[in-house]
Formats: sequence, C-alpha cells, structure tokens
Amino acid sequence: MSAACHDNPAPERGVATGLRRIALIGSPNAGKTTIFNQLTGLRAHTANYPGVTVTRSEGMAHTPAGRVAVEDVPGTYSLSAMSPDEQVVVDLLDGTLPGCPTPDALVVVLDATTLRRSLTLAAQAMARHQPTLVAVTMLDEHAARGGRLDLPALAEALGVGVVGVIPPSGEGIDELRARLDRPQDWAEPPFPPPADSEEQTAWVRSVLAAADYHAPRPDAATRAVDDVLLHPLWGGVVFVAVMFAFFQTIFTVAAPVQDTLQRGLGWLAEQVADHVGHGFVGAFLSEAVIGGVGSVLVFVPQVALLFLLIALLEGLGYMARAAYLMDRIMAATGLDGRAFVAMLSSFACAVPGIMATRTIGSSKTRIATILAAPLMPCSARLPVYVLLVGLLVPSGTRWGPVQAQGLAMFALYVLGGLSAMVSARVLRSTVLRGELVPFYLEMPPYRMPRLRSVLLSSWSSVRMFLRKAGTIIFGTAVVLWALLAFPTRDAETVGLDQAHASAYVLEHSYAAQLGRAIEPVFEPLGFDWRIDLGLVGAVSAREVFVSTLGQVWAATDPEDPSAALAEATYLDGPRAGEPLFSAPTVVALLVWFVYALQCMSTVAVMRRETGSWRWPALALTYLTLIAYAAAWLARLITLAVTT
Amino acid sequence: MAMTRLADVRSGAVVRIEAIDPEVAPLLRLRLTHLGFRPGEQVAVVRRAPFSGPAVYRICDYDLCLRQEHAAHVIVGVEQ
Amino acid sequence: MHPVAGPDAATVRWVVPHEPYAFLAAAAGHGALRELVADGTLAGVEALATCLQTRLGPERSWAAEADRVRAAVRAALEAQAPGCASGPCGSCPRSA
Repeated sequence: MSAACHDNPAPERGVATGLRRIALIGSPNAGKTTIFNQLTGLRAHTANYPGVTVTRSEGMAHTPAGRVAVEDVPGTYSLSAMSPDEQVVVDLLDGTLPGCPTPDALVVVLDATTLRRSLTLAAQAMARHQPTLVAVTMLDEHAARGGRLDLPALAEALGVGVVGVIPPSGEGIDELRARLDRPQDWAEPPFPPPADSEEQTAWVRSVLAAADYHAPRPDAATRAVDDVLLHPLWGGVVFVAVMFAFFQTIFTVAAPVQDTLQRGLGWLAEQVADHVGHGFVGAFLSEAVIGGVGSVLVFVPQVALLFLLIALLEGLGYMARAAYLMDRIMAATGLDGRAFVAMLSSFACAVPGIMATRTIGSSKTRIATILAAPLMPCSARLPVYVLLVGLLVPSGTRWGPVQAQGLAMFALYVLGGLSAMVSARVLRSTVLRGELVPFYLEMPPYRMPRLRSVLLSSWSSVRMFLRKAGTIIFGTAVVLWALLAFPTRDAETVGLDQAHASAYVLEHSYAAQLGRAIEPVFEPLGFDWRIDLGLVGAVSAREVFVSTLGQVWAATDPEDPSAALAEATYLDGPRAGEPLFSAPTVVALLVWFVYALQCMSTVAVMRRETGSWRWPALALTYLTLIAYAAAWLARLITLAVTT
Repeated sequence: MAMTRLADVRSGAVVRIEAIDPEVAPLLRLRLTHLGFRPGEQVAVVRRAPFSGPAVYRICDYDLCLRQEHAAHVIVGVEQ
Repeated sequence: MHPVAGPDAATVRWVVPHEPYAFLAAAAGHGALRELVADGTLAGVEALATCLQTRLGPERSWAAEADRVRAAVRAALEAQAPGCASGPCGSCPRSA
C-alpha cells in the first residue's frame, strides 16, 4: 500500500500488499456496488484516487482459501477515457497509477436486461488479456420481463467463466467468492475479442444469438409511471411535491432529534461543570470538548437523513428522472441535471451537497458545482438570518398581506440560490470551461431498493462526514474556545456574576484582540470589533455567530441576544454613540453571510473531494472577495435609501 | 429513405441508425458507440423534455437520456 | 460471427449464428483464408456442420495474428452470405 493511493493511510482498513487484487468493472446501475457490498460486507475503505476527484472504494472479501482485495472501480460504459477522471480507471487497470498495483484479475458485472449494450464493455475488458470473469445480474428481472438467456452457452461463446448473481437472495455470491481464489484457473478466451467498434458490434450480436438471448420487454410499469413523472406539466408538479416532502422530512424529523441532542449535551456540560468545577479542566471539558462534539453531532441527524433520502430516491430510480427534468434549467448554469441533486442537498448543508457531486461524470462540471454549492442557503445560516432580520425589520411589519420579515428571509434565500447559479455559470465559462464528456444518463426501470443497500450507502457517507468533516469541526471548535476563553482573568472577574464575568473574559480574550486587529478591515462595512469577534467565532460554523454575540453582550439568554443588540451603540471612533445595528450595518452583515464561506467543514470536504487545496483556496478567495464587495455595496445602497 | 439527425426525430418514432457524424471527435464517437448508438441499431424516441431539453431514447434494450447537442451527432434513416 | 475454443489451444471455431450453414464449405475455400494457409499463419481451415474451424500454424500465436485471421474469416463469410458476419441480427439471408 502506498500513501499516494490513500488520503489517510489507515493500515487496518487499507488493503495490504501481497493479497490477490480483483477489480470489479461494470456500468452504472448494473448492480456492481451491491455485489461489492455482499463480497466485502462493511469492511470497505474509501479514499480518492491520486490527483482526481474520483472516489476509490476497496474492501476485503473473505474467500474459502483466505482473503482477496476487491476494488470497486467507478461505474463506466466504456474503457476508453474521455477525461482525466475516466483515465484513472484505465490507468488503474494498466497498473500505471502511482502506488496502485495492477489488479490480478477482472470481474465484469453485466446487467442481463442490457446485455446488448454491456457486452461491449466485456469485450473491452477481455481485450486486456487479464484473467476475466463475467458476473451477470438482474436475471430475475430479465426473466420476469420475458427475457431469455442461456448462461452456459454465454460462457462458451465468450470463452470466459460466467456466474449468475441475484444479489437479493445472495444466489451466486458464494460461487463468485469461491472463484476469486484462483483466477489463474479461470478460462481464457482462445481468441481476443475485436477492438474495432464495428467488429465488436458483430461479435456482440453473434455471442447473444449463440446464448439464445432474447431481450426483455420494456418494463410496462416504468413506462406508465414515467408518462406521469416525466410529463412536461405533471412531472414538474410531482417533482416540486417530492422536493417539498424531501425538505419537510429533513427539517421536521431532524429538528427534534437535534434539539434532544443539544439538550442532552447541555445537561452533560452542566453535570461536568457541577462535578469538575468552573476551573480550567471543567471549562475545557464542558465548553471545548462537549461543545466541540456537539457542534459535530448537531449536523449528524440532518446529514444522515439527507443521505438516507438521497440513497432511497437513487435506489428507486427517481434521481435519474429528477436529473432529466432539471437538465434544461441546469444547462443554463453550465452544469447538468446530475448537479441538481448536489445543489438541492446544499439547501440543508453544503457538506453532503458536495459529497453528492460524486455522481457527476464530468470533473469540470463537478468542481464548478462544488465551488457554487456553499452559496446555496444552508440551514446553518437560518439562525443568523433570523437574528439579523429581527433587528432589521420589526416583527409584525406588513406590506399589505405580506409579512415583511418573511419577505426578507425569502429574498435572502433567492439571493443565495441565484448567486450559486450565476457563479456556476461564470466558473464554467472561465476557469472551468469546456470538457468533452457528454451528459448522458441511463433511466433504469423503477426498482424497489434493498434496505441493506440504502442503509450501507448512507452509512458510508455519514461515516465519511464524521471522520473527515467531524475532526475539522471539532478541532476548530476547540481552537476557537481557547481563543475566546484565554487569557483567564480570575483576578479581574472576582465578584462579578457568571454572565458578566464571561463577558469580561471574552472582551479581553485573544479572540477579542484578533477582532480589534481586523477592525480596520471591516470598518467600511460598519462592523465594530465585537461584530468582528462574532465573525471570528463563525469561522467554525455560521450559527456560532449568534451565540458569540450573545456572550459578548452578556445577555441573560445567549441564544436570543436580539434585545441587547438592539440597544448596542458604537463604543469609540467617529461613530461613537450611534446605534451599532443600524439598517446599513445589518444589511451589510446579512449580505456578508449570503456569500462568505464561513464554514470550515465545507472547506475540509472540498479539500477531500477535489483531492487538492487549490479548489478550496479558490472558493475561500472568491467568496470572501464577493462577500466583502457585496456587503460594502449593500451598505452604500441602504445608506442612500434610508437617509 | 431519407437521412436526418436523431435530435430532429419526433417523439414516438422508431428509426434506424445509419452512422455517427464523421466530423465528431473520435472519442465522443466511440463513447456514443459504447452507449449503444451503433449503425444498424434501432432507436426509439421515447419522450422529449420541453424547451429543447434532453430526450429519452430506447436503444439496445435500455432507456438513455441524451442532450439534443449530442443526439445531433447520430445520423438516422427515416421512411418517406 | 464469434470465435470459440476448439478441442485444443491451436484450434478456434468461428460460430455463425444463423442457419443454413451450406455456405460454410465455400467460405472455407475463400482466397483470403487460403493466403493465410499459404503464408503459414494457419495450418488449415475446415467447414464443420455449424462453424468454420481454423487451426493455427506452427510457432504462431492467436494474439499476434488475431486481426488478420478475423479479417480473413469475415471476408470469407461475407463473400458467401453478405451481411452474415457483420450485419444486424435477422438480416442474414435465409439461403446462401
């Protein structure tokens, strides 16, 4: 095993050298990942291939004679590469990928219902002169739809071994597992299949005829459902309804769980404070450790639910339909239908959104989506917007039938969504221009996904979130705690009550010094050092802004500091005495939060998914510049309008 | 028999593929072939999205969604 | 047409999916195949009941000669039954 192949070498998870290596090749939707999961169980290990945005998945299969390493090669319709991402598959099979040894044998997974297309992939695999075995899936569906296939005759015509696999019942998996032990004994085709595409076509037809292949009827139920779900009008209506239900589920199911989690952690922090005391150790445990864990855990219900629903919709086959419906709109942004899922997820959180870009074939489209995703109005912005909009517009203000606060919130969401679209468009026509890979998408028949596959797929995403984003979020939370809590001011705070004592410590903390140091930078936007301190706090996650301001103003309820904030004035400088949270400042702050990439977990996931610091650095730079310029402009406009 | 491009075939029609546009970049041509767009194959236009959006084609016993710009590379024959 | 393994490693049989097979005998004698026998690539070509059998010449390998042999077999079959080796399924003439 080489470090080049793994972001984070974990010897117990990575695949050891010396083991036999089998590569699983197949088209998307062929059932390759299901076979991979059945062979390797929960022992899969994921990382990026070096230098590209392609996820590498490998695991260990326990065979009668021991263990073999199984590599789940990204799904593909062709072994001729059109992009660097696709080249990785070819390089992997060639053994020219640094640090990734050549596979000892190939297992080609073919869907029986699409054999007329997928045998071309088998021909390309067999032309590589490596031991090859064919696993045919979906045999049950094939037969149910009136298809015919003689597996022994197919094996004879192909000249390689053929195993029929029906993943739901596990049929054929044991036979496949047993064969993995001895690829040196696998039948070799006497004569390589043709490379020329016209001859390949002739070969496929001939092989199918020899295997007594009869294509299945089109799935009548799928066609009937699609007549509605892909209808120009009704399809759109159903789509909006599905998306509405999607977010309703995420917010209504996840919110109480998140509240319970937070209450539980709050209780735990109190217990620690009571039993360990308010000294350094107690504060570290209750505020840094429990607070840090809490800032990770609070994401988990939402992220997990999001992944679960995406896996479910993907397994059912609806995601492909959604991509078909959205492609025309996404094309206007320079992206494609597949990017839609990522943008949608980013409404909840950019982290799962960015992770959902893995299904996008073109790497330029994928990176443009990743860079635009943080602009989507995520749920972490919600508490910030609620606080600031409350300061800007008194509750109960109405313009006719329209509630002003609601309108302002809506405007912020629209601004974020539109900005994401525009920035994707700009990126796709500048730094991420062009790309040969066409947008195409198989529309598989609707299938009832297996619970196990859905759970496995969402679990692996949640696990990755916890491992990669979780550590960064936790780390940032601990560092911020230290910045906000040090140096300790035990002597100065004697006799003060708890709230005023912590406000005093905060105002004289390292973070406050940082806030004062950057005050000149944000002065043109109308922010004073206390707001800057809030921005520093929000580096870990946006919603921290609310509680940091609360601590600064020592409000009795740090979660709702709006009353204290409304009274706040500038302490010094030319504006001393003027209200701090005036309309121009609040508007500038709101616009800042629409654009700024104030989320270290997003940065961490960008790094993880793109395999380099280049793209997160670009995102941080362009989003910060836009945030600053737009906030400054928004302040000027508000000033002009209100005076 | 008249030649036209797959992108211009109306929804519901079944046509025979005659060729992939020889002007197309070789790799794109190969990819279309691997997706099943091979001379001699029949292709049915299952449905088209409005506003020149993508279309769903049935080719090689499966449904594939392809954009207009790429379907324009596939030359098909239609009965007069 | 597609190749399948013969009784030994030096033998490959070319299966043609459609009946009748009467044209196979004529195809076996096609010039393109005779040339390969003459230059030693092939040791022999025979028409069996449902396929054409090619035997590899001494000190030759299928991997190296694949393209030439395939092209010759194809030319031979096409000459007797146009469309049978490359055409779409069902376009094969029912009589050769």
